[in-house]
Order: sequence, then structure tokens, then C-alpha cells
Amino acid sequence: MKNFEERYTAWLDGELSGEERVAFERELPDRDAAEKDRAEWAKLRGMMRESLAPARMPHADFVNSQVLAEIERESRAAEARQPARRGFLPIGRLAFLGAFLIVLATGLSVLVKPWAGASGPLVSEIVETHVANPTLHTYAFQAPGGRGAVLWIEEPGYIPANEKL
Amino acid sequence: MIRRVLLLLAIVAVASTVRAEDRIWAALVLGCPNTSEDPVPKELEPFIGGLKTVFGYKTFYLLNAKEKKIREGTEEWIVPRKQIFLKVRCTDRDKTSYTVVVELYVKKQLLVTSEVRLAREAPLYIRGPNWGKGRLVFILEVR
Repeated sequence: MKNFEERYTAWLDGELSGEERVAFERELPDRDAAEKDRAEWAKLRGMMRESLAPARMPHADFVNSQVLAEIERESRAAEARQPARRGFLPIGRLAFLGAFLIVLATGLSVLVKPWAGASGPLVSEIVETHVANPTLHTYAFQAPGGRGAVLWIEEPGYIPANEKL
Repeated sequence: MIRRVLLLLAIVAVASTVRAEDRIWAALVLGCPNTSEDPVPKELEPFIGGLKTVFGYKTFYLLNAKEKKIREGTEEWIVPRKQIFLKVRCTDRDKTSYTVVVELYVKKQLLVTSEVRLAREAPLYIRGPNWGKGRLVFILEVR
């Protein structure tokens, strides 16, 4: 047998069957106050149902499609970036390495005598000579005891000593 | 990273330029038959033996010296004195030498044009005109 409070709660919730409800309502000491309680409880319960109901986003389908599209876009961008990261070296490091090797090679070529081992002539030589005045004569020969060359102009004239050079 | 790459590329460019740009040194000297107590100018020391052997003078005075960049296709006027100067045009270059066309001007008149293959550190001596009691000699050397 349920006590009064339990049956009162069940009455407020409308859970008492017909006979039980009629019998209980007869037991109520103040029917009007109880009806007021029941009405307030019904109102309160309705408000609770509304507040506890899951929030509904306006235009939910549109927002969802936008979010999915954004995720798709970012995934594609990430995939596009990945090969460079997975490659042998990123492009920046490759450029750095290449520049470093060029610097190294250039430095070595400067430090090591650039013409060492070259097969060309290591002496200067006069290939041909033309004189502006046909009365002039020139001779070309190697400088004795050296690698130099001499262009010997016979009678190239003179500049008087009193003339400033 | 990009800054480092740019810095390295700049160094490469500078280094390449330095390597590519040899210099041609030209000196105008006066050879005299008299002996002198004056010491040989330091710049002439490497050449003094060759000058004495070739030209037979006892003393050489350095009148002026110039240095110019030399590259294939360049043309440089080397004017140590207004009365006597050279035009040097570089026509070719290989690993050991530069081919240059040298024009000698005396009193602004072209005297001689000569095509010369100049090896590095192997000078070219040009016997020029007399001046006073001595003789003017040009020395050209690639460095």
C-alpha cells in the first residue's frame, strides 16, 4: 500500500487509474489547493521538457555541408603538401645543399691554382703585329730566361726630354 | 632558410665574379744607362732581371702602374702618361692565357697593333720610344 505522498505524486503526474484517482481525490483535504499544485506542476514539467530538449540549429543541413566541404578541402591540401615532406629533401634544403656545393667547388677552384694541370701554353707569345707606319720594324721574341715575351719596336721615335710625358 | 639560401647564392655570385675577373697590370718604366743608388721599386723587383737582360739598361724607374680588370670582350685604356698609352682589348680566354690585342699610342698616334697571348704571370715587354736619356718600356702582366 502506497503512502499518501506517493499517491499524491502519482496523482500530480496523472498516473493513477480511474478508481484510484477518484478515491484519492475524495481523500484530499483541500481539493482546490491540490488542483492548483497539479496545474503548477504540469506547467513546470512542460517548461523542463522544453529546456531539456536538444537545441536545434537553424539551417543545420547547410552548415553541415559547409563544414564537410571545408574538411574535404583541408584534407586535399594536406595530401598535396605531403609528397614534398616525404621526398628525399625539402626544396629549401636542396637549394641550400646545392648552393653550398657550388661555394665549395668555387672556393677550391680559387685556392687550387686555377691553371694547374692545364694543357695550354704557360708562356706569353706574340701572335702577330701590325705597324701603323710601314717604315717601322718590329721583332717578337721570348724574354730570355723567363716566360715573358718581348715586342721590340725598332726606332719607335723619341719624345724630347723637355716634353712632359 | 630562404635568407640563408639567398646569402649563399650571393656568395656564389661574388665568388664566381672574383674567379672570373683576372686583372691586367701595366707599368710604364724608364730604362737609363747610368747607375743609380736608388733602390729598385718593389713593384719592379720581379721584372728587374728580365728588363736588364732584354734591354741592357742599368737602372729602371717606375713612372706609373695601372691595374685593370680583364675579361673576354673587354676593352681598357691604360694611360699611365698622356703622351704614351695603351688600348688593350681582350678577344679570347682559355685556361692558361688571355688573347689580347694591344695598341700602343705615342703622342696620340697609333704606332703598333699586336695580338698577344698573355699567360698569367708571364709578362709582355714593349720597347717604346726614347725619352730624354732613357727609353720607355711597357710591362703588361695578367694576374
